[in-house]
Amino acid sequence: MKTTAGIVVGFVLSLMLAFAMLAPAGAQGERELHAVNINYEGNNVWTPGTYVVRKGEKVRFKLFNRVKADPNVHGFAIDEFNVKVDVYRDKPETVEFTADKAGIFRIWCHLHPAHLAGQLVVLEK
Amino acid sequence: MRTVRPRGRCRRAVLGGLAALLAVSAHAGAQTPEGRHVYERHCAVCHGPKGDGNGEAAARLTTKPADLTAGRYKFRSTPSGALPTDEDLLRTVTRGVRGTAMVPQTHLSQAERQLVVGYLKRLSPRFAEPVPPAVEVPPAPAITPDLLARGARVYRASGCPECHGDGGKGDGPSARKGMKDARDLPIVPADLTRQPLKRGSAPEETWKSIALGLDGTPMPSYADALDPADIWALVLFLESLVPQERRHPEDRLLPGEEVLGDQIERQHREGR
Repeated sequence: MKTTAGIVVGFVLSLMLAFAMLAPAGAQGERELHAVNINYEGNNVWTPGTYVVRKGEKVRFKLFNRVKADPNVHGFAIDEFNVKVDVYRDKPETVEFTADKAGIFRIWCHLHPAHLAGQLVVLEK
Repeated sequence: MRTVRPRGRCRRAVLGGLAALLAVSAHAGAQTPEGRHVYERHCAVCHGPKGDGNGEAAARLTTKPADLTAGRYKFRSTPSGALPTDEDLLRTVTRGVRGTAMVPQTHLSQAERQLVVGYLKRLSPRFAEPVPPAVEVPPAPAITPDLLARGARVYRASGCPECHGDGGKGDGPSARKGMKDARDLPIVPADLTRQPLKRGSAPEETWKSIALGLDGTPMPSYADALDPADIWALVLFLESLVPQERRHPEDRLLPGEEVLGDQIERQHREGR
């Protein structure tokens, strides 16, 4: 009896371990990224400047505006994915979209286009 | 016992220092109580006794009174983030902020307005910082079709329509979502197709708003992004958007908040 129970428990644990090894850090096909707006030597910039995802992934950006100087709001936009978010100082925002096309896409501040732009790289699967 | 007396140059320096100290003390003594008196009589009803913008009339106003304790001023001739000059403060006190309850304080004498400017600077510890010199506005160029077309291009390329709308009416996508200032209070982008703007109707003042930004609001400084000539092209393009019938005379109160602000100030002054 004890032997059978041990085999079942061992089998279940092995299965769980196998699934854990196969699964990516987030749920399958999803990617969460953080972008922080800062002022670097007089330039406002989303950092990190480059983000890499795979085509077909559901991308969730968490956005933080940490620029202490005025103005109190900055923009986060990726035109090709219809992303356009106003991010107020110390008021985090979240935006989600599916990266349904591969390529290199500009990330920019639609409110103040002079700010330094970043890029989203979407890899073919 | 031998008395040690300051000698020559040293004595003159000590006496000079003492005289300067006395002069400063006498100036401060004369200025502070009177400036405070003017402030309490004419300003505190909206800005509050402590200057934090929570005066007894603040709840009645759509555009909330400025928090003077923050030391953050929209209408400056200095770079974004810097303190205003005394002339900037005097100008705002004298001419008011158009379209708001901050009406021109021309019922005060020039001396009273200067006293209250001195008092305003005591409401925020930021005024211990040095004030940079005023930025000089270059002369306006001649208006030509090419210049206006350049201004229209600058308007679009600088992201202005996001807040002010394609036609400049203050109805851009961000405005429709609802915008907030640095105090988390609702703020509406200016309708650029009517005048006066908050800072008045002078093109030089609009040049300053664009070049230096309006601190505490979403309106940034474009001093690093645009050269002075581009800013002039933009200002004159914006001027071209204002039809004659939407130009209100500078010397008459605007209906709404200005009239209300005038009533509040008069009632407070007359002790009603």
